[in-house]
Amino acid sequence: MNDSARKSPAWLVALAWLLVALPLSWGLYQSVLKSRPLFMGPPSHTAPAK
Amino acid sequence: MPSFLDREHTVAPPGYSRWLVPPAAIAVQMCIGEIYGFSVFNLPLSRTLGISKPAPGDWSVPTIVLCTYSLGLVLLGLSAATFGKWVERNGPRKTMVASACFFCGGLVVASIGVRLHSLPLLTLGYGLMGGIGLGLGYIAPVSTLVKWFPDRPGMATGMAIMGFGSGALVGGPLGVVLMDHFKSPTSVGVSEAFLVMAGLYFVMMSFGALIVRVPAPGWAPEGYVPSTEARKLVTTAHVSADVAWKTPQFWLLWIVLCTNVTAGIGVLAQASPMAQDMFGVSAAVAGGFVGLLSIFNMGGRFFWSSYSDVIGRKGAFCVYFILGCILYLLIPYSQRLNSVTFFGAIASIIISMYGGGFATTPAYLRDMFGTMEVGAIHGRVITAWSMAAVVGPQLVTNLSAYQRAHGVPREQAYNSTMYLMAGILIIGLICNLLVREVDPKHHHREWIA
Repeated sequence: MNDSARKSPAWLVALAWLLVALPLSWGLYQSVLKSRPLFMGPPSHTAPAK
Repeated sequence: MPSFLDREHTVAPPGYSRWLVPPAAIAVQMCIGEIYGFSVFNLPLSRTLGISKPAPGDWSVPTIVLCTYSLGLVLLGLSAATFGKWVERNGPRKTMVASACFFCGGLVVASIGVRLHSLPLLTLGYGLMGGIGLGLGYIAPVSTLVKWFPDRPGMATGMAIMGFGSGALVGGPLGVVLMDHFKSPTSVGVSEAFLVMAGLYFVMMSFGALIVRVPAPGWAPEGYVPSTEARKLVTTAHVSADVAWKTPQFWLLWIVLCTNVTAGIGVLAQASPMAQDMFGVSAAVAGGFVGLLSIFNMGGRFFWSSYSDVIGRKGAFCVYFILGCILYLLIPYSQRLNSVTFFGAIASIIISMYGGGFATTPAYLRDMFGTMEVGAIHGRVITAWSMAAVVGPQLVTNLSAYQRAHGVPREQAYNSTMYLMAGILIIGLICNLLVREVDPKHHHREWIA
């Protein structure tokens, strides 16, 4: 089948991806923020709990 | 339902870009994947009467988890298996709308249940209705995507299933933000948060349903020439769902998925207490660890599934099982080194392969059974997930508790569990190695692509 006939506009494809990318990026940002304590500063962990 | 939802009315016109289908799938999966972030509601739901602390009559956390999260995941598998053929007949748009109605309607009912402090209503809304919405939404885009991307089915299903993995990244923080906004001296904010989420998710899922299309019969990507040479373990024939589940391949793949998920979910569900018990880290650091795992759970779905297009599905699962087994055996060593960084790295790779297993499964099924009813077959295989969702966390929790009760130091109590998980992965590896082509006698004779 020939895809050149009345192709989906590029802006529509971009908009569709943007609509899912925005919440996804926000969620990713929130998770990275949440992960920061794992990599920050000197090891905050103490001796393993007995 | 209006006819524009029917499969016949969703056939793509010439020139429709197939790159509109993945965002449609992700939009739906991202919303229903919210169930992975449900844990943020556990504590507030256990204080709906007492508000600042649990009061007499408040629900316990185990009860809440059982009636919402666990029941939802069980219903996901059951509804995917039950409605799989209906989904194939009616197409992705009607299924996505049905999923939105069940999932978002369930959130509204759950919201009323929280407001009235009615556990049956909460169970009906989040567990039963939400679970049915989950099952429908999860399998809705699968067969559509593999038909749109015959050249890269692993990547295509990886994108959609990645959307489900991202649900926790979006749904968890969104729930926290909404509860913070709505909480008051007389409310923990859960009821209001559920209502707002129902509205937002319904809009997002409707957007997905609106833009999704199925390819016209005989459509193929520009420049794509189907291989005429028989490729090992990639069929050009088709097997119906009713026949597929009677083949040994179906049950081998069921065990393959079940073992991979059991091993992964056992760690995912207990990640925070494990990090605290094994390394003595603070709750904040353990929370960061969980966030890191969520990112790898999502990313692994896309990465590993795309990689399976290169090395084949059987090869990909061999990697998950062999590498996973080695990594599980290294976890006790990381504890002996007292290296939380090493542990984090190991667990992240394990969880990426857990997600990868989910995303590779639809492509594996397509390779074995063809595209004719792959959505329905996928729906039946998904029951393995429901089983694993119950068994995995129980194994980790109970075995480590047993170890502690028998005098094993707390930081070493998870070691036996890790060895058990490695053993479970070996069972999965054996089943994967036993997978062969489906006997041609099971092939469907009348279907034309």
